[in-house]
Amino acid sequence: MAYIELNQVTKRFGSVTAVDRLDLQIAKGECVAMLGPSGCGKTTTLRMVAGFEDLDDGEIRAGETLLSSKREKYYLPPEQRNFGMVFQAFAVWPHLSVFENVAFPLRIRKLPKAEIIARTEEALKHTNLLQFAAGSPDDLSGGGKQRVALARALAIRPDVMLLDEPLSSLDPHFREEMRFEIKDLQRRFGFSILYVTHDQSEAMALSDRILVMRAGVVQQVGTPLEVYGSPANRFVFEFIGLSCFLKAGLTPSGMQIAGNDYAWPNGIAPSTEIIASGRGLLAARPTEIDFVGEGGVRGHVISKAYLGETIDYRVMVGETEVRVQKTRRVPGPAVGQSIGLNFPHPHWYPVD
Amino acid sequence: MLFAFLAIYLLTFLVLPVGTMILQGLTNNEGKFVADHIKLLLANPVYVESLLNSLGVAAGAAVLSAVAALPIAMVLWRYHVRPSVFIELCGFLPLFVPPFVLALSLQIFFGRGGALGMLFQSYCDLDPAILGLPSVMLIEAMHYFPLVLMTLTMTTSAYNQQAKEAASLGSGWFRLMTRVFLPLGMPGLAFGMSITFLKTLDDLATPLSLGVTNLLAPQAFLRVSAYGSQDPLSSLIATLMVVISGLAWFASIRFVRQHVAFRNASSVSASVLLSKQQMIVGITFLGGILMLYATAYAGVALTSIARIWSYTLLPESYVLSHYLTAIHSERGSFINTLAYCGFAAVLDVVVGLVMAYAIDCAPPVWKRWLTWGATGLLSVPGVALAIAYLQFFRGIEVPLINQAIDASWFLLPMAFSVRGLPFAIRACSITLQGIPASYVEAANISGRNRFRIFIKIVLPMMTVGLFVAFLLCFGLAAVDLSSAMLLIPSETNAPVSYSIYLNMQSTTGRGAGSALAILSIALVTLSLFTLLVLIRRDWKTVSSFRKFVFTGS
Repeated sequence: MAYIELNQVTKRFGSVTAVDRLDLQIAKGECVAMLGPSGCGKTTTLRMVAGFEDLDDGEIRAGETLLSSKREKYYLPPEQRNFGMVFQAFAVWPHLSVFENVAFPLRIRKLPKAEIIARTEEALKHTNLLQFAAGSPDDLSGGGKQRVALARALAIRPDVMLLDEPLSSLDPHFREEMRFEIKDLQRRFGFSILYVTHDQSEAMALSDRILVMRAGVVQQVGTPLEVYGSPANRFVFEFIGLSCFLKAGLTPSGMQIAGNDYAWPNGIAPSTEIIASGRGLLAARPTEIDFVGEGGVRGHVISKAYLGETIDYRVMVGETEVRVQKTRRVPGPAVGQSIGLNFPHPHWYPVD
Repeated sequence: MLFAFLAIYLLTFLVLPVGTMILQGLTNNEGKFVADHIKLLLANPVYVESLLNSLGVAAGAAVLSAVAALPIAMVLWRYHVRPSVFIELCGFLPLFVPPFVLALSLQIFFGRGGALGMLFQSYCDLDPAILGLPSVMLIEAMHYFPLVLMTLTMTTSAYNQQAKEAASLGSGWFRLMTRVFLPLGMPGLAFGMSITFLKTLDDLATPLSLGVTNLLAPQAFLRVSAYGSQDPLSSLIATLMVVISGLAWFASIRFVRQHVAFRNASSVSASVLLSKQQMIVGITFLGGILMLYATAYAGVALTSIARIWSYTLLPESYVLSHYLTAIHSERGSFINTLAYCGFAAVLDVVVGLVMAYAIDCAPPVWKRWLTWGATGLLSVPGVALAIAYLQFFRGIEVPLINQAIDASWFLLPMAFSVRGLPFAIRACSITLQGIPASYVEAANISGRNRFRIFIKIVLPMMTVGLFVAFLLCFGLAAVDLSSAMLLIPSETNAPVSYSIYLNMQSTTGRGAGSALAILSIALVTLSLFTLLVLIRRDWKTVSSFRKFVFTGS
């Protein structure tokens, strides 16, 4: 059952529509990541859920409680929503100790002193910060500061945790470590997460579902596997993972690339609408393209680069460059060699 | 409520008094607009001459300081010599030391009977008091030259690396100067020149100490002294000063607001590995300037420790008693300075913070107008503001003490605060911008108690910035003699700057006056050093300090 519900949520800044009629449901204990390029409206959406931005249309609910509604001219202030929030810039107050940072939301809510101490210590314990409680957050690393921010958000025992690119300021090593910690905390405390990121690997690793946005419009909502394996459109395909595209002329019986006729790759034909247009884009992941000696879409290898476990080949097909990634353990073609490409899992998109 | 307080403050202590003063100059007794006063002013050759002299002296001082600063700044820039931030701050010392101190110091040296004046007497008379207007212009130019040089250096050095690359492409000196150096330095040059112009136009103590009265500020002062504050011609002269200042400031804004790309502290420190040649150039030029100023102020410094000094190159004997006299007899003026300037600076910080917040929250179009309006306060000369206060608050009784407000000390700190406001707004703006929105939002999501959030989270994060604003406004108020000379009700209410001026006018008080001046300069330098430490510690990058002057596009 949906806990957080966004219905037709719209936000405009002047003539620019930052978020356009967005619908989203988040279940209790679910983690939904909002993924998209800079300026796509994901942070604006998060801020509307937090209560820092008003809506221009639509409504937001948490269970039975109405949070914001344009129609009913209703707006519940951020502090009454019982949401925790973690910011990209940590937002840890430098003049307060680690303990006081975490205790501040409880103090401002005027909880009994004993409860403040108990809850703060609990949050610090779960974020492995108990031994740093008396110290200044300035003495902690970036990861440490972000833990303080997490502990501060945890201390109020939030129903929902809003995370605005919380790991993007961290070193790659800490980033990976923190991913596991966030997931672990969610399991322990059972809160829902709305997670904003532009890092697809972060979204894949953390979330139960991913919402992909572009220019304020939702492109796809699905599990990480669905979004990666069955992208709804060319944008999602291109945004999630590496991608290659080949322009193809289409006939009812097959396709034509660089003046040569081929059968549908692996027998998978585009939709009738795309075939009817006579032109289509054949899309594939570089890791999902096979080399074949005979047949296949013909091209020649123009370069190869070692990326550790894999080798990155660049193959020219007509005037288009196609990337192919293969494990280094299987011998591949040499530079300059003519080679056929097979597309076992092709995707088809209309040409723009 | 805060905005209501802001509106009342601005209306009571700026808009209404200045508006009334302008009306006073342009209307007759029935309140009708008449040109009689303007005709009267233009018919009197003394005022026409004063107007032309003021324009000439202020523009001349600005041009002279620029002419002196340009080649030195160009050499420093060409050789990648970047003065330390402390030296840059010292360049702003002229804003915190009244120029009449330099005038009196030079008079001690070059005046008749002075150390060097005596030597040169057989060839020419170098007494600044004899030279009249040119000496006012030269002294003002010399006083504000470090400011122009440093603002110019600050804006051009931001581009050292790019300039080096351009130079290595084979550009000649002239081409480099006209095509690269001058356009880059324009914001600094315009800022330094406009401040020199405004301050020279407004300066009352320097011309009076040199016996020069055919300038607008002394004429306005003399008319108020002779005919009282309701004199329409003094209002008209003050209005003229406001108009000239306003036009000058707004003419320079276009250049000052050009984008200045300041680098952060780390990249600055990475670029200061100078070669031997660059070191020599740097030490020669900057050391030479420091020596020049040390010599110029040596007159006051030596007088402060001289027992007898007349018709000899150096004092015959030395004592420290002037310092003891200054500290003992002028205790009252120190307390007055602390009270007036402290009050004015606190008010500035509060009003500046509210205004900076209002500007920050305003829609983009309003933001620009509000910023212009705030900086436009710079163009209200101290003399004009003082005349406006004397007219507007004349005879208004303070309820509890049964004293007329214009006969009390109260108007002086209020004038100081209005004069310091543009600086306070800028400092508060930088302080506010220094707090990322997420830090406040993180507090807002925690609870609804806005006051507690402000006290516990926002205010502690602004402490250093607000303290910097306070020091700045305090320093500016402490040297504002133009309004002080008109608004001080009695000598017992005088601040230190006025006591220095009064002491220096008499032969017997010169020692104590000089000691007071040296103590004041030492205090200002100490304050600047404290500012530097605070800026370094809390504003993280020195670029914040440079941004204080140049807002960028």
